[in-house]
Amino acid sequence: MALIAPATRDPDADLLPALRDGDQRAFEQLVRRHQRGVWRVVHRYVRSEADASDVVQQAFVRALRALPGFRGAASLRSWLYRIAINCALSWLRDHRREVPMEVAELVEERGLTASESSESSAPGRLERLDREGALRAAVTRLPPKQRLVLELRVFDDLSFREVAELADCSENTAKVNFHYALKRLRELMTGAQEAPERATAKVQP
Amino acid sequence: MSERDDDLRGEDAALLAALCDEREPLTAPERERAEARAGSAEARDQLAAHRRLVTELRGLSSRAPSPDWSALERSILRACDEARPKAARWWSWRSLGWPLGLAGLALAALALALWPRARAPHEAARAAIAPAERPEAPRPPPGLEAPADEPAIYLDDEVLASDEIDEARLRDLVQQVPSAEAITLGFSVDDDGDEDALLPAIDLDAELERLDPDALRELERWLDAADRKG
Repeated sequence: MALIAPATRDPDADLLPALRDGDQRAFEQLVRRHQRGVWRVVHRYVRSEADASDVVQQAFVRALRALPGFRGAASLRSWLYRIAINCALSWLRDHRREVPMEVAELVEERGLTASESSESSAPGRLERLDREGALRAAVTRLPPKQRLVLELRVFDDLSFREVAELADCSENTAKVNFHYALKRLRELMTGAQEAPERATAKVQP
Repeated sequence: MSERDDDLRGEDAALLAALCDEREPLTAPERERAEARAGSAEARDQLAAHRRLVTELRGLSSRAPSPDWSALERSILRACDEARPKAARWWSWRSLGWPLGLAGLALAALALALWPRARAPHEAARAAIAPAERPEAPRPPPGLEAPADEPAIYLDDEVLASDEIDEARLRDLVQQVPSAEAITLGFSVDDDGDEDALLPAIDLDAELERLDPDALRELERWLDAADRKG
């Protein structure tokens, strides 16, 4: 039995005719609706906030130019995210040697913000932050397709149909990838938890 | 969802993913099938663990950093405004590309079709008003070119140098040349216009000597008759 998701209407369909006519207000509306999501997607690739903002700006400019060619086969959001991901990837290609992991970004990578880092002495919070850091690290160790599907579904809240459009696969394959991503993630997290326990057990007489 | 997951069919995996995601709408039969697949206690535990993991991951995204959204929006719109005229020009050219290309091709075809027709009458008119070719001037025989500063006098394909001509001798020669008319007819018409009164135009003695005896006798008779006539 094939898993058939009910057809969902593109929430941006109302904007599409005006966007195709080059209507500026419609484009402003599109920016307002999607800049946060696009920024989050780009930030996962680019890491630096300033660079992410530049790439998002570039992605919207590219989308503006490509709008007349948008046929509406995919949802406007997934089309926009694809442009943003392409912009981020090309930014990474151009700046491959210029992306040192700065301390601030390392802190950010581990889920710490400035306010949290000052109060990180509480053991419960430390444990939680460690867990979050481990989880983020585990996500980066997933196979590329599983990682993409998981991030788009969980972090960007895209429907499986949109995820499939972005990942160039069928909706069913996207779901299967999601399932195996979770399974692999659990294994990675279990391994991460067990490793320190094994080390502690060895030290004890 | 257990160690048997490796054997899990794609559709079942997709159903379980949708089930643990909890945000994906499932039809009633799909939900039944997914729950049946996760029927054992172990499978239910695994499903619960996956759901916790998804919730945990969604929590991470909510704690992600965020820039000044208003400033970002302004910068995006400014960049798009700067790009807009270029985009509009590209846009319009793109939409006009096909008609312009077709019009260009049509014009080229029309020009090619009309060109020979326009050229033919033009060439005919030019041929009609063109002057007739001049006959080529006679050229001296090879090797007989005269000096450039003297007019050439040719005689029997030979050039005569003007300084070699004796003018007195030339005048005598011209006087000796019989008139063209006399040479042609041998006789001239007398002043009265009587054609019967023919007289030898040149040497009468030589003419008489050429006559045979019969002719001479005839002549004498004619002269006698003329005398009698008076």
